Amino acid sequence: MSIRDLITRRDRGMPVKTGSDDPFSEFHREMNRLFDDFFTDFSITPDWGSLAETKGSFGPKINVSETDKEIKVSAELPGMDEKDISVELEDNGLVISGERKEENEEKNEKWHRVEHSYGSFRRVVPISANVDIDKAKADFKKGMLRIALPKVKKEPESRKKIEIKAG
Amino acid sequence: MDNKVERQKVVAVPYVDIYEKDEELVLLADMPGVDENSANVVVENGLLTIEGSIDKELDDGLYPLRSERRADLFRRTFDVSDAIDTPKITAKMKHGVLTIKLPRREERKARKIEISAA
Repeated sequence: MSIRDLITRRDRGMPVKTGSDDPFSEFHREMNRLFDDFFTDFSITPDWGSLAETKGSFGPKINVSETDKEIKVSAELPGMDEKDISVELEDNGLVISGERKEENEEKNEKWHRVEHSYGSFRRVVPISANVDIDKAKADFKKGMLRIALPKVKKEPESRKKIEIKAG
Repeated sequence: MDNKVERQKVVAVPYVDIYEKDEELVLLADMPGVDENSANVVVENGLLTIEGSIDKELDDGLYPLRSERRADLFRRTFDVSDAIDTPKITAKMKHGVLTIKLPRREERKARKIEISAA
């Protein structure tokens, strides 16, 4: 079972606007995504979820790295405010969600190009180690969210040996 | 230089929104990880180039598990119409979004002409 099957999806409403009216830039973006997914998934890491986690919404690009002491997650969230972003630790991982609001509400404009995604987003980052949620830190600067999750040393879950019966 | 083999910099193309108002064009470019000190906006020979180097210091020294952001810098070039008053172009940066305002030249703005009675 992939890790994604373990995560329950919550619907957080539809985005205000996604992608572009221009089919070519949407195609370009989709190709970039495919290449990104293709070249980053040559590993034995768990399924991290695609960039577009839920239909009709978008997923920010992330980097995840670790040391002995902590796990660091950074996510690209340009044009957002810290109050529009929520970070939660659930059983299966770290959930980054929120909404990018359209800055511009003016009436008399004529749009030439829309490549940004607006609306709600959600991204689940599987966390395999035990982390201390009380000591977790997050900061948001220059449109980048950075989260540090300190690891805790925990006794391994009680191990059970399974008997193999002779057939 | 001791380091003969320098890693080629990875360039990302920032996503942009462009809209037009009566008096100006507005360009919004997503450049997460870039601030006003690490961004550059240049207008030359009818071309507008936006550029920004991405601050990666905090990612160093860690074992990477997932890398979707690998670019060292953002760069993109646009054609600027001659209807734009280039010396009056302004730029600002907030939360990783670069906003560039390109005002229309005075003589190119739509203007209502009064009709006087003969």
